[in-house]
Amino acid sequence: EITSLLSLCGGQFSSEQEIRVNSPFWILSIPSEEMARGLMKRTVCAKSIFELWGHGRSVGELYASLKTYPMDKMLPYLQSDSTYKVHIHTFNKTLTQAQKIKKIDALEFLPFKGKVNLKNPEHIFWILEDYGMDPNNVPEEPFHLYFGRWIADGQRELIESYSVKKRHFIGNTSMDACLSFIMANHGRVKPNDVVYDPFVGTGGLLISSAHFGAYVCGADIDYNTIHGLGKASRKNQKWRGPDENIRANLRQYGLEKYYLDALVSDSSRPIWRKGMLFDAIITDPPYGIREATCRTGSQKETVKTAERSTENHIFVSSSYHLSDIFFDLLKFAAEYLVMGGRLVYWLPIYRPEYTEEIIPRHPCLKLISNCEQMLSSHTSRRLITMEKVKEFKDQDQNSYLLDGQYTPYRGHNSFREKYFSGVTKRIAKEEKDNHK
Amino acid sequence: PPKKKLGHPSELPPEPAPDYEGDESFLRRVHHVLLEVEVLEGVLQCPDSGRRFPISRGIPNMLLSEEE
Repeated sequence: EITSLLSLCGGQFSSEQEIRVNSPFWILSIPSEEMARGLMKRTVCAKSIFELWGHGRSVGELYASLKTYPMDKMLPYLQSDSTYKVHIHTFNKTLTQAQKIKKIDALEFLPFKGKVNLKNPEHIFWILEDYGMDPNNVPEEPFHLYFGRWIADGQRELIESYSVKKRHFIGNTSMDACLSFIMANHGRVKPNDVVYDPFVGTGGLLISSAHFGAYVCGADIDYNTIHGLGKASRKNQKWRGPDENIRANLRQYGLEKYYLDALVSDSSRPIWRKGMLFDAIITDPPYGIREATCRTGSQKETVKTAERSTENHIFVSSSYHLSDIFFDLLKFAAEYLVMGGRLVYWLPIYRPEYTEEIIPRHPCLKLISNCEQMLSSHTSRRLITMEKVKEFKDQDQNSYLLDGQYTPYRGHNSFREKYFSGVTKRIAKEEKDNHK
Repeated sequence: PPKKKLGHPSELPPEPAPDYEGDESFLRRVHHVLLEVEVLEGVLQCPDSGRRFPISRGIPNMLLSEEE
């Protein structure tokens, strides 16, 4: 997320330390404070960012490090006519007030000239102490200490304010708020972009893009979901109310002006004219578990219809292989994204057979990232981000299929079988037995 | 594949003029048609095939049957 956002702010960073998977602290070099602020205006992953003045694995190392920090970089924030406060944050440990004050006082050797103001200081300095990740094994002394000047907080409160629990219109598979903001950030969505979701459902993924100022539209094959009809997904609610549709969801957050359109459409048969271009495509295609994967088929096949509306239904068949969904999705993105535009989507994975090779590819799209979210010990989904780097030519359309390198991820429908099969049940039972 | 194209009300020219980006009154009219006017009930017609797609409650139904 951070890499995408920094490139959106016009920069990149060098990381002084490798990201320690088990540490909430990360040191990176960013060209300017302004860029750091730009980053924090978007991120839902990062809590806060500080200008690092010193750090070390012990108190001694921290103080030594602080003493080598250039004085001319410190002085602008320590002026006698300014106000400040020092805050101490201990990760995985609680200190008493007395202990905290002792640690803050120990920093007296720093040339603080300003006045302390605990309520509304101009500058806030933080001591950060890392006591590890194991709440059952908290050390006496921290593993690492940091001292720095607070610059900005991230957007983590969006997770609560956009929570799906409070949303007017949800479906069985609505994306949670945090993930949908991460997806918009991976998509590098910026104000006045046009963002499209070809499997839009109740529009949850569009909301985060609209929050960042993009105009949003989506399509879904399910007439009832798009129109907001039929059975509700909320417990205790039988039917959807009149205010449940994508536009209403945007209205709930004051984002209605970003609503462009919603269509009932089969994403395997795109209906867009040539020349239409989207800045980003952000989507969560069906996995075939809770929502069946389907596409339009002959009228003779039966369909699961909702009780209320029967007009304009085209009957659907159920044999749309998911390897085809991703093939169609990448082809659509290659043709209808602007150059440099991003495709962000979830790919369901059966973990025992996963290798990087099964990630779907396309000659016009470059793979930017691939992040796993585990769903169970044997299944997960991966957030795939791709960027359009080459113009789509009509002759490209299907010829690359013959090249084995681009063979899309196969056996997705078998993902559905594996998920429901005896295999996963037996494994779950084994795990349970092992716990006894 | 069928194409989607909106019919404009008569106040708009059939093609944008070459320097349309600077023409504020034209831009205002386009903005109005694109973002402020919504077709609630109506029809989209493909200019190539003539196939009509119904719009109801502001949402076009673009589904094709198997034969199409």
